Amino acid sequence: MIKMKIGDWVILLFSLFLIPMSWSMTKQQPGETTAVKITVADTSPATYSIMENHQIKVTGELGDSIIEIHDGKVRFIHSPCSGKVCILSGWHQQSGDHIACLPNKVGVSLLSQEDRFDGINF
Amino acid sequence: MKKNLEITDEDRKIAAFAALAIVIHVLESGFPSPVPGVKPGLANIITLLVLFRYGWRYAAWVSLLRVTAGSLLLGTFMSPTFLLSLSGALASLLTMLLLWTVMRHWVGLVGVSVLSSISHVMAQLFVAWWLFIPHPGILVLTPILITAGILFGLFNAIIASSIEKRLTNPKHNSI
Repeated sequence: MIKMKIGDWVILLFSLFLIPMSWSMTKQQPGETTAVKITVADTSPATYSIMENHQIKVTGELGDSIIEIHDGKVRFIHSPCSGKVCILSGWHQQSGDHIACLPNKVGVSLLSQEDRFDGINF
Repeated sequence: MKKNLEITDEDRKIAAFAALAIVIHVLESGFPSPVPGVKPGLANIITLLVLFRYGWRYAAWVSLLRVTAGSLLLGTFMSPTFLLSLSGALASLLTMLLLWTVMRHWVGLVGVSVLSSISHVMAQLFVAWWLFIPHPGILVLTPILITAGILFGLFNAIIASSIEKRLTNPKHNSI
């Protein structure tokens, strides 16, 4: 068996405590969404604050889509597309998330203060 | 003018242990990993053994030589991989220095291995976030890396202590 000194036990106990703590800390940390960017095909995107509750009607390729912003969350509530994937995907609040309705060419992105990159690859 | 470079016994020891560590480092880089950044860090077993046998100065030499020469062999010198590897090595060496000077008599292989592994992971995460991926999303990796770091730190300590036993007591050599 390995010889364990008092310091080893202290460090081992500390790390056993650290494992669940690190898991729970990152769980409670949803990216802070500050704004919602709505892009409709071939037009410049419009940005809305996530804090204000409202419904936004945009006209896409097929017709009108209605997007709802409520209590810091966003969802599609109406779409003229056939699949309704955008509506079924439900509420979104994590920054970096995207909801897209491809048939109607409407995209919704959740933005945070600092998002210069999604990632860098070398 | 000719200068005579004297090769001391210390140099020879450091070179030999660094060579061992480099081989492990290069071999390990060939193994695939399910999550980027998660690997056992088996080369650190050599650093640990050197630390406990010869002290921190030797361990620092072996570890930094391993990172530099290992990256030259793998072709990652001065790349992000190298910078992450170096920052991890520096952080774990600092932790070892702290443990070694402040509480040498109270810690053994397990404590040093686990704590230096945690600091290794945290330093790498910080550097990755600071230099390469300045996005809060990278924090999602924290628990995975910490958990893996602790488990592999413990694993390495177990291997290191069984090697240490065989080094001090030749009887153990015949398994």
